Amino acid sequence: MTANNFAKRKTIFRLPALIVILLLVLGMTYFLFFTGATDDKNLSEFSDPDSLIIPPRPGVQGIIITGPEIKDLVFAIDTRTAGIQPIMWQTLQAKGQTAEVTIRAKVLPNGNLNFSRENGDIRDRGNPDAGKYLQEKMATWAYFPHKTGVILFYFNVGSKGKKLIIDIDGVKKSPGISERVRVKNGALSYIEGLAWSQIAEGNVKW
Amino acid sequence: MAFKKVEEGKHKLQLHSLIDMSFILLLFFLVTSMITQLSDTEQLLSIPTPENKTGRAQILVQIIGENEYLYLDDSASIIVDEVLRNYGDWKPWQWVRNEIVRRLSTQATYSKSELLLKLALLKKQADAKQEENRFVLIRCPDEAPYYYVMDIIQSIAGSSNLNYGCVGGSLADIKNARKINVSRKQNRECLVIEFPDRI
Repeated sequence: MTANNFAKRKTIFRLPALIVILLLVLGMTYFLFFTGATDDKNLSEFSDPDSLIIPPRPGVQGIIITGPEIKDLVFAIDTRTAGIQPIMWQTLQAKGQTAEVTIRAKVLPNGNLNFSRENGDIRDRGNPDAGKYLQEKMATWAYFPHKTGVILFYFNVGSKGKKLIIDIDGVKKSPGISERVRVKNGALSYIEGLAWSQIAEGNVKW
Repeated sequence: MAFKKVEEGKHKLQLHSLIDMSFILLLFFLVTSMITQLSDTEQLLSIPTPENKTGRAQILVQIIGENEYLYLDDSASIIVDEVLRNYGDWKPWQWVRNEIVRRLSTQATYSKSELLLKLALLKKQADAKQEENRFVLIRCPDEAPYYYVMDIIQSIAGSSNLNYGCVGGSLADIKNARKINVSRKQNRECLVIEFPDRI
């Protein structure tokens, strides 16, 4: 008799507990999915906020016909180039934890980078493998052909501050581009595994 | 007559079935909430609609017929400016407008093959000059078949500096324009055409 009562009591206590657990789970589900609490967490830290452009629909009431609109150009790595390869930062670190490599390259009118070890364009301190790796990857890089001239890269793998400094004082607007067109600087390197905050534009001693 | 006494058995709650059912319900709500519920960002997303105001384009292609197209770019402002300077002050507006339309029709109307050639050259030019952006407006009469437009779009599509759009409208809108003028904005000459109100 006592055992039977005890079992009955157990059932009575279990039931509300089960209901409470279910309510808690449903409440959490509601919070997570209905309030969008997880939305921001799903965004990559590199993702840019999207903006929608108002679709042009001229010509219904009237039309203004003008000459071509001049837009700004961006001097940056053209990642659509066939065969372009990024520098994998982890691989570079594996080649030399304290490697310091300075590369002097010429941005040709077609956007390709021209440099060679034989001409003394690569100066490396530490493990030479890092310099060889950088040479191999950077030889595949190409820029949009909006600027030409000498560009300097200083890689400091072990640095606690900036790990890459790019000197673009030597690159100037390509001769074919009109004076009134502005050429802005975009992404000047193609590296995976290195945060943008660790790349800077500045003066590099040669 | 004696009724049979119903034996009252022990009523026990079927916990197994209850748990099964609860989890099925939970799973159902989890899945449906994930599918149907939009994120906050999506809920607040406002999609801009085209603005109902005078538009801006670099090239206007007015379809007149299957083999007749009016092609206007910034060079057309020279023709308009000449008529306005010569007759604008002393001739009635209707006459001036008709003269502008007549000259434009004579000098800027092309056959289909001529137009496609012109557009191919334009595309080449746009590809060569990355810093220049052009918008081609195609006006198509409501009664014209849409393949007229598709042929034009096909010849200019694929260039990153050449955008295009299509609206309904006929040559009559230009012939009955409320205003055709040349104005100067930011040191550049602009041809302004205001169409009559459409019913």
